[in-house]
Amino acid sequence: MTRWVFVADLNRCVGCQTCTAACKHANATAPGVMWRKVLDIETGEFPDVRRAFVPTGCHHCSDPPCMHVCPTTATKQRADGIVTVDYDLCIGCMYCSVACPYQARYKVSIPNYAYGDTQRRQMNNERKRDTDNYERKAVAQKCTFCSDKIDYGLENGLTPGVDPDATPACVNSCIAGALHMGDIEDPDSNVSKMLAENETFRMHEELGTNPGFYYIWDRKEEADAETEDDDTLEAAQ
Amino acid sequence: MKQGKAHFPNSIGPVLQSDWDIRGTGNFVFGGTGTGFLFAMAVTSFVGVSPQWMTLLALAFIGFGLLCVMAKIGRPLRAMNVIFNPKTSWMSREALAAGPVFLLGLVAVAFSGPATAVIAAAAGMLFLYCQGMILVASKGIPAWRSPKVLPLIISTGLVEGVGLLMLVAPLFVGLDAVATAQPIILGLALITIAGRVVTWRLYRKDLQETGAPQKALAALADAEALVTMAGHVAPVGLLGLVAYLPETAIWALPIAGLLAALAGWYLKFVIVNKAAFNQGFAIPHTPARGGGKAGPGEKPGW
Repeated sequence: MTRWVFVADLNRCVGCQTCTAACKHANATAPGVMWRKVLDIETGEFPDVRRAFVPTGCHHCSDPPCMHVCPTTATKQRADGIVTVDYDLCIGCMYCSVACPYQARYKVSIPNYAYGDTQRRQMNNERKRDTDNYERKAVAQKCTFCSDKIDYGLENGLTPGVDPDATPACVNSCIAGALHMGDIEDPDSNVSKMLAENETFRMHEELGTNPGFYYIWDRKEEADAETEDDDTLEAAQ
Repeated sequence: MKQGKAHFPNSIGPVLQSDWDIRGTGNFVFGGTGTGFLFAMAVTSFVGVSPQWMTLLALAFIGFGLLCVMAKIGRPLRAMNVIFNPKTSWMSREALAAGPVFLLGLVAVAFSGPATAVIAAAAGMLFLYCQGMILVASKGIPAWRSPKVLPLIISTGLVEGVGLLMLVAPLFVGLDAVATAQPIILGLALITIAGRVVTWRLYRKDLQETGAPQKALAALADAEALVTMAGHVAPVGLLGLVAYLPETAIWALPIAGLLAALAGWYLKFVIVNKAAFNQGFAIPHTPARGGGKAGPGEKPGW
């Protein structure tokens, strides 16, 4: 079995929001809608303050409350763990939104525009959103895990998370190498190795939704020891 | 064209949910009152206080609540899709439960008597149970996902229904009939109000013990005085007055009923619209960054 997950290395993320912009560019989301965004969290009091940049979005839980509560079956889960929304079934009740612990869902009922609503100022994707039959109008929307790219990649022998053509836009765009995705069920995958070498947590894990978004916050001690051994070996050589 | 406002949650700490506004509350308010009214009529049907036409009033309340949902959803023309997931969704189950409520309610209108009233009320209770479970299943809202919200929604629905009966019975059924059923009405009101007092206490205690956003707890604390005084103390005082001086029933019963029902509506408004802060974001650790050390986490607003 395959389960695609995201891994964000909080030690590397610089909060540049390039992933946010790449996602908006790839998915033509409306102003204010951010399927991927990076939280800027400050902790402590001066002089002992800390800052963490935390990418978030849909966590593609393996036991997704949004799917269970959806009265229309518009929210589904693929065999590879990706949680999807069927815009044609959704009635826009937003029950999924109040069931989601990650504020991952959005609804845009009235068209909005980045640079004003006059014809001259509208972007092409905004004109498309303006039409009544626009599929995402007044229904729930969220991160798709760029499942179209994953599917394309798999059909063409590529490895999602490794080959850019098979990898979500947010991961591809990350300038710091902080955001990754891959198959957690494959012990040799990029994300499995990262999880083995680093201390990780998942947000709101206590709610029991088994989220598919891991955050690296430190290296494991044994991994550090191995690195030190390698350094010692190199120095000796 | 008017600029649209996207649903735009972008705060670190818990923020008040904006997906279910006053129209969402309307479903819980009118659905709860209507089903509670069916319950009150079923109990009093044994003493002939509830003429069958009053069942139509209960159905009107429930129907108006469902219309509030229709007004809330983004794609109302697809409203029937709501019944597609009874396997796991309490919203689907509520929608499906509405069918028997209306059907059996109309049967109760056509064939008056305790049996039909009780059956219609049983369907109503199922509908009310689904309403409570809709909130419990909302994992993103700590003030809703408490299992103690279910008995509270049921108990306040019953209070609202009994309150509505106390409001309309003296006006439409006549004082003589009400006087005959007075012990039952008073007993029913006292028991349901006592039930709401207990479930409201248990609900707040559960949230304080299991944890909820500070603003949610504050919103519930702010509502305490009004719910207690207007919804519990004043109606019970008026019921005591009616028990002591039965001639005051003509004005005291409707006022007590109105207060008890309005307090229930206010309580639901507070839970659905004022205390409905979401989970917010949290990290159990701050990152090490380079050669530094990892630090403690952050869960703002809790």
